[in-house]
Amino acid sequence: MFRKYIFSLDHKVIGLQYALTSLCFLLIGFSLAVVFRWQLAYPGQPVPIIGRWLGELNAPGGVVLPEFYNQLVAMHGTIMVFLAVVPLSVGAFGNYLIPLQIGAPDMAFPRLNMASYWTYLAGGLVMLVSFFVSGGAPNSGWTSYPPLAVFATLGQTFWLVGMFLLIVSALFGSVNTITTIVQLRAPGLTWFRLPFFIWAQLVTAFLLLLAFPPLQGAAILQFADRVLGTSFFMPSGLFSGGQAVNRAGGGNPLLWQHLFWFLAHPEVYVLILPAMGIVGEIIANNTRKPLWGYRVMVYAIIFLGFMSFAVWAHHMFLTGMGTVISAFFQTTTMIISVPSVIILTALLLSLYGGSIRFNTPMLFALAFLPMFGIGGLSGLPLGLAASDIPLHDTMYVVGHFHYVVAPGTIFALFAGIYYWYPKVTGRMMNEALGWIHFGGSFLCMNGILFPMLILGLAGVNRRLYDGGMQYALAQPLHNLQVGMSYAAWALALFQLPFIWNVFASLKFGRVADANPWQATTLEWAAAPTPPLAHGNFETIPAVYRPAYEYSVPGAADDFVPQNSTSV
Amino acid sequence: MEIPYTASVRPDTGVTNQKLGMWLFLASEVMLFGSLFSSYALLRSGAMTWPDQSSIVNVRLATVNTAVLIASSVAILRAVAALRGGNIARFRALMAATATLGIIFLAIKSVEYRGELAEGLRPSTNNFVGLYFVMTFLHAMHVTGGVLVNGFLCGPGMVMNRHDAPRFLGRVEAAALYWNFIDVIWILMFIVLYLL
Amino acid sequence: MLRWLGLPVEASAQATRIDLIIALVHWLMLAMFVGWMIFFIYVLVRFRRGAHPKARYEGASGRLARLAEIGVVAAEVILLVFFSIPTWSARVDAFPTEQQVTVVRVVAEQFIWNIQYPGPDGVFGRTRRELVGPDNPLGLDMTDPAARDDVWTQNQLNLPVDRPVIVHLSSKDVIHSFGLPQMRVKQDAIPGIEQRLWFTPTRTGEWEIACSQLCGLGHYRMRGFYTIQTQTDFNAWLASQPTGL
Ligand code: HEA
Ligand code: HEA
Ligand code: CUA
Ligand SMILES: [Cu+2]
Repeated sequence: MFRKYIFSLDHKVIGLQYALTSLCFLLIGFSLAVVFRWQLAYPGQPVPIIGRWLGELNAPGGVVLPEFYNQLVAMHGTIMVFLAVVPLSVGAFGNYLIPLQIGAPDMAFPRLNMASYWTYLAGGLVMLVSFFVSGGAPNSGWTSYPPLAVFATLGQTFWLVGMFLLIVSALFGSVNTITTIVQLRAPGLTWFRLPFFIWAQLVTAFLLLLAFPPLQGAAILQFADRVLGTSFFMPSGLFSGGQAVNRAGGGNPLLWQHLFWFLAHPEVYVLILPAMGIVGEIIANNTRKPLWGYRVMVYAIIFLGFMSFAVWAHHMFLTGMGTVISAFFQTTTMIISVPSVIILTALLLSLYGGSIRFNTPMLFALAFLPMFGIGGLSGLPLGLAASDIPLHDTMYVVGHFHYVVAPGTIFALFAGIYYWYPKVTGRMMNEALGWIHFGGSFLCMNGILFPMLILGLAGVNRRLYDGGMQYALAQPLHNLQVGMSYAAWALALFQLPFIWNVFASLKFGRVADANPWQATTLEWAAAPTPPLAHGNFETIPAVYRPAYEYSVPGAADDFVPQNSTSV
Repeated sequence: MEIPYTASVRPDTGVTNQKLGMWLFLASEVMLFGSLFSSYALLRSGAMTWPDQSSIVNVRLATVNTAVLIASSVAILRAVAALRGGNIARFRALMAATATLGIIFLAIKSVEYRGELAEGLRPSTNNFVGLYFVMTFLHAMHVTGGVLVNGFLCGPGMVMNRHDAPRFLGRVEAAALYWNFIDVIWILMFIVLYLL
Repeated sequence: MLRWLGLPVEASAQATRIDLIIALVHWLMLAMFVGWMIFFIYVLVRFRRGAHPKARYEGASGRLARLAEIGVVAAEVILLVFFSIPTWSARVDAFPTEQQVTVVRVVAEQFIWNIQYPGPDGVFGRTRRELVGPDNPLGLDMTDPAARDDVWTQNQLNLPVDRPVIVHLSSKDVIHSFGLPQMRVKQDAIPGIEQRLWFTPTRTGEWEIACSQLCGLGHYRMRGFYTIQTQTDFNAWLASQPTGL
């Protein structure tokens, strides 16, 4: 019992543990946003209903205090990025699907896999516990810039410890993923026959492997600054609250920013690449034709991986950068937009000539394209240092990245859940509820996010406790903030059909046959649905053809599985 | 079902899972220590004053320690060779020597720390001392991990050699890779923190 | 385009150039998005299962797409080489000499903007860390003759129009960001590093200084004011301010 469900070594069980945990964190992260959106719409008014449970220290009389607002935003960012989206897209989807898609009996190192989940959970719990320590949760933004973060309350130490654990977990996971993909591919599954999803996971794992450790180093240094009183990030002559700070000094606050963004820029591609992989799978399947330019997509995603290590300082244009360095980082930033354009173009062209089925997974996957388009395109003015001057640290930036991560990545993850649900449970999710979930989420997301771009262009800053009500230029736009909040709350309501669908379909869902989407890849074509309790395949399949052989001329069906010997 | 290629080489990639996994792990360690060395470079180049390092830290003990670690690296390489040649007793002795040398390294390191603390040096004294403590401590933690693994491999872990010899050899090779890596990191630290 | 984007009024010489870039990029974005969107919707309608029951194995030729990609790259290169990089270089390299301009010092602290004018002698008085206190946030050293004619204010920055301004920017505690939205000026104020920035106001008016980097619980109210006025008004204002401490 314990071995089977809790301390399991089976990649499918671990994948599900990851999925459930990260979905809970997704819900928590969203709930924090639901609360702080109240404060943005109605600054200084008591939060209705739940206000009195927020605690007298955080929200006396239900009115959120500025400190607490900062905690909510910092934890929303941290939870969404590190505890919800990465574990869901890599830990859950990666773990569950990689061995099945490449025809492997399990991940290469099952024990490491289990350790990865448990360190993730420990890291997540440490983060959550910080809400209850003195001074509350970390409140220096998800970026934790020193000196602010070094002066901050105890919660920040928990953030650092939690981050340390999460990085260890990511390290275990990525070693495992890469080894599995390199070593355990089924016979005949050559590199260019891999599903695009596998390529995306492979590149992602390299980013995790190489980009996370520097943040670990940085976290150790910031921990020392906070706990041992070192001055790595603390310059000489510092004051705090008007009082001179008694420290050796001589440190450099920008060092943290370099280390942080050296991680965090590759990290944003960690957030998007698995999503692109999922979208690729679903589009190929539901257009019933091969992905357009598969090879080009693979080269583009590898190039994207490499380049993502060379753009980090575009987050730091306004820290005092000279012409040469800024020219370098602007150029790399423009270069990195090209492979994204190529991948998106390929996905778009894949639709041409298809026979498109509009089921729920496909709806979310299709919506991903224009939504990521808006998000990615709004990265361009930020990437040009000159136009970044007025836009930096405004709501425009918030709008930019929410477009890529929320209706981008989150939609792709929804698509993936609807698509692979029958694989996991043997039952289909309800289509009608799926359409409601999709339509509502699509409208609400845009209702929340497009106004962010407008606010940002008008010069409204981010991370403002009162949504900018102090500022003359923000006041006329305040009704936008109100509208965005209503959209956010409506978005929460539209998640209810989804949550119901996930749980109720376990029992009431239509029973799925072995290959309900008539797919070509191994997880459907060669493995039983729902999966075997032990092992993945009765026999390891052999692979004879590329991943997306749909509508092959002369074939009997409109799909030819990868392991099928005859056309 | 057994996981293939754990200890046997996959023909088209030319590696075992164990070896690939260890190389990947070391790649990430390079990034971890690399970030600390870069922080050192940035802080030092940006500092108005930087203390005379060798007058603060104990170069003599560190030199001894460097020799100890190099000796242990040699020992573990010969232990691997012995195991490959099937000489179990010799493997066991050499692996035990490796672990013991690791413990000696840690002992000398703690003597060094004690001396520095007694002189009133603290991580907060200045950024050099801070980096010195943080970096060497992180390294010492890695050594501790290595000692535990090496001790395990010449003790209870040897059972595996009886029923799955190739996999055991793979483990020992991975441990040796790790141990040599830790040694190289130490040599870099010795140069950067003591000599430069 | 610019009106449509709803940017704040543009009141400095630098703003024109920056706004031009913002407008151009948004044109590019719009063109790409609309182009892609037309194709997208066309394809979704044309190749829905009902209208096209059997998919084609061969893909689209993609010639148009390749052209579009080349177009995007070309547009990005032009924006970069002819607009963004030169603008940035003018911002950080082409400083006017301090004799012909208004020079001020801005020292950020949680959650106040301290502003120091050098006074008639044009020299900033010495400041010392030990002297910093509630009545002397800058730590001005009155034993220095150059300090006696200095003017300092909090959260109120006055500047003459049509004359370049150089700001010496620093911070006492955490990282802040000195944002003047109407000037299209923003620069992080980082403790331990003194930075210079410059701009030329071209329009009189009264606006707000916005702290643009999270700096603690009072970040949202770390608001200052700035007034761009004619040279005579400015001189009168400066003369009316108390000097020294
Ligand atoms: C998934 C996450 C993700 C992704 C993919 C990106 C992608 C990009 N990002 Fe973004 N970014 C973030 C997440 C992400 N970003 C986050 C989280 C922050 C803020 C962190 C913080 O400060 O808190 C940030 C901030 C940020 C900044 C700093 C802004 C500032 O603080 O001032 C910059 C500046 O260069 C930037 C640039 C870019 C660029 C050029 C891309 C490019 O890669 C984009 C390329 C893509 C395209 C050009 C789209 C092409 C597609 C189409 C055109 C298809 C259209 C299709 C249809 C219409 C059907 N980003
Ligand atoms: C992956 C990253 C991610 C995601 C997905 C989101 C999603 C959302 N974010 Fe957030 N956000 C950040 C990362 C993210 N955010 C970051 C990094 C910051 C900056 C923090 C900082 O400044 O330091 C930020 C800041 C930020 C702000 C700015 C605050 C400020 O500057 O003052 C706002 C304001 O509206 C906001 C709102 C939202 C909303 C409404 C969503 C919605 O789109 C949420 C959508 C979520 C769902 C729809 C959840 C669905 C889940 C379920 C239904 C669970 C199902 C469960 C089971 C089945 C068990 N976010
Ligand atoms: Cu000062 Cu924000
Ligand atoms: Cu980035």
